[in-house]
Amino acid sequence: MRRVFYFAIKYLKFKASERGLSAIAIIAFFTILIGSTASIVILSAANGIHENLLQKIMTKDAHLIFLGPGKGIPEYKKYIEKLKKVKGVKSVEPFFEKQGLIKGRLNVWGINIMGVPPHIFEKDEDFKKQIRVESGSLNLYTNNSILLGYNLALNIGAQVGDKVDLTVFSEDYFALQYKFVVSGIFTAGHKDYDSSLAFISFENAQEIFDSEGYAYGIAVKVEDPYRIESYLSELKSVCPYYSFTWKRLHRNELAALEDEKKLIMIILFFFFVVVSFNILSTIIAMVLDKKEEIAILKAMGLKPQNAMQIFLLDGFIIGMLGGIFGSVGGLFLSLTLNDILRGIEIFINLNYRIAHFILKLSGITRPLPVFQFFNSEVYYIDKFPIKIEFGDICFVMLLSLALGTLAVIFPAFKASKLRPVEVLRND
Amino acid sequence: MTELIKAEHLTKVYKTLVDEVSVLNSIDVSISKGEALAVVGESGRGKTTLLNLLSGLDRPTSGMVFFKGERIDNLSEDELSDFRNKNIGFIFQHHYLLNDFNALENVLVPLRLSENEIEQEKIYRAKELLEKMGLKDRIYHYPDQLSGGERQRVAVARALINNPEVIFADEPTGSLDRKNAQNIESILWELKKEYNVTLVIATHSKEIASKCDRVIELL
Repeated sequence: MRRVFYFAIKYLKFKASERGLSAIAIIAFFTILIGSTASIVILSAANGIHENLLQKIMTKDAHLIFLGPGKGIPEYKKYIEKLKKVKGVKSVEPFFEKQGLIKGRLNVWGINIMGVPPHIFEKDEDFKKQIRVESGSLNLYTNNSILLGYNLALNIGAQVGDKVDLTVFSEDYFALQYKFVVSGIFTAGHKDYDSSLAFISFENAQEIFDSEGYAYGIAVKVEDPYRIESYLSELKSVCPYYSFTWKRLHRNELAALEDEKKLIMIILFFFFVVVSFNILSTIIAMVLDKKEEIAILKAMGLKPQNAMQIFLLDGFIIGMLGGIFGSVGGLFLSLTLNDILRGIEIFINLNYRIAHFILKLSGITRPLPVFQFFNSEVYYIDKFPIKIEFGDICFVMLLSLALGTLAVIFPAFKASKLRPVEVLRND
Repeated sequence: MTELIKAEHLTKVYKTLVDEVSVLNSIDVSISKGEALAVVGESGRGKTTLLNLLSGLDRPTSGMVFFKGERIDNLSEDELSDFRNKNIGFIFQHHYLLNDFNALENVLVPLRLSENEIEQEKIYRAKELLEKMGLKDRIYHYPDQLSGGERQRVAVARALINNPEVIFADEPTGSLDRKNAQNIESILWELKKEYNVTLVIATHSKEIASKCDRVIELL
């Protein structure tokens, strides 16, 4: 094996004419390096977007909810205390979630009414992160105050301070109408929430839904929501009501996200297939370039399997180094991606300003355009979400290694089958 | 003298897409240890083919080749590789040095193919051989930094490094100018004398053939 290693390294290392690294090896190495770098960035960005969407999903429905039959869960305070004592539980809050109608100055609109304890907007980190105040404040301490989603407020024609009519239906289908004052308008980064969600205080919800002493449900948040299943049995043992994990409630969205990730993996696989064909062609060129040398080595005693091993080892080394350096490059690029994009934004905007200034001097007035990769008004994110996962780095490195080696099997086989007498005769 | 190589009824037919070309037809050859044998004949008569068959580089269509009484034409590829590495030295018309290796590394290549670690003693021997070839100052030069004659002298040193029983030289001076050709010739005779190595030379040169112990002419 040592002799195979010696010749493999020699073929990677030097090119007689330039006394430098072999151009063929460099091309193959950079092909894998760029492929790995791009893959890590793509996967990190996909993970980031994936994570961002998951966060948004988790914000609305907590990690686990218990729902009671009829009016809801009686003696809910007792269960809340018990649930709070379970290890790994971060917060437990009662809530109401029912449908109703809301009437503003312009329209009547069907909505989801969430009854939540008013302190949730100060205490719950997820709420603080995801719910952004557009006007007014997130204050539900005042009796009969309501918070409206931004699009909902637009649709019904309501502003902060306006009185709106909230209509709910009793168990006997009687329409009950209540007056609420809009104390705040919010955006939650999700179209459905912004156009149909309204928050009222838990106490007000109990009153309007005629459920004194009941909670429609209990929302539980845990330290590790991704492993919600592991908390389930203990939580269920202290609260014997129907339970729904956030994963079950949003299984379609989660399945779609998983499918997206699989799709990205498949695209990356094909991307690497292209890369491997590139390596294949470069290593074939290497074998053709070294044809005479392989022939003379075989004449002097190089065994056919050793000839094959030399080129397989070259492919393995190229794949390994390309994978390692590509992953490091990908990590660096992923970690600094937002700074790089910000830099590009600054550069483009600087050019806009210069162009704007020149136009202004020439007497042409145009509004100053502003370039942004992510319009936070539209995407609810002001920077690209990046999440680097160890598994993805392993995936990319293994793929580089496997394809680097697989791509050279054919040329390595060709080298092993090369008959010295034919090459030396034809020369 | 002891018989080193023996070939019986050697026939070589090359198959092409359209027909078959018979190059050698039932040839018998016997080469003794320490002998210098010249193989002469016009181009296309099968000099190179005969050398390839006798050295185990190619297999005959029919007939047998023996080396020290052992049949070699039916050995496996791996066994033939080992056989060539241990017993045969090659000098071709073209030097066929490895471009990415310096002169010393090129001389050591046959040893690299058979040994995992090269003993210091053998490295000294390689340097000594290069010195004998008049390449003392060229030991660490790469082929593209050497002249045609110097490259061929490195190839001669490479052929000798494994102490082979026999050296097959196929037109060893064919690509050199007269001065360099004479130089290589004199080196070959000196080495033959010093190491008592068997020489099988395919050549067009009457001068070389005349200096050999025996001449086979392929008609």
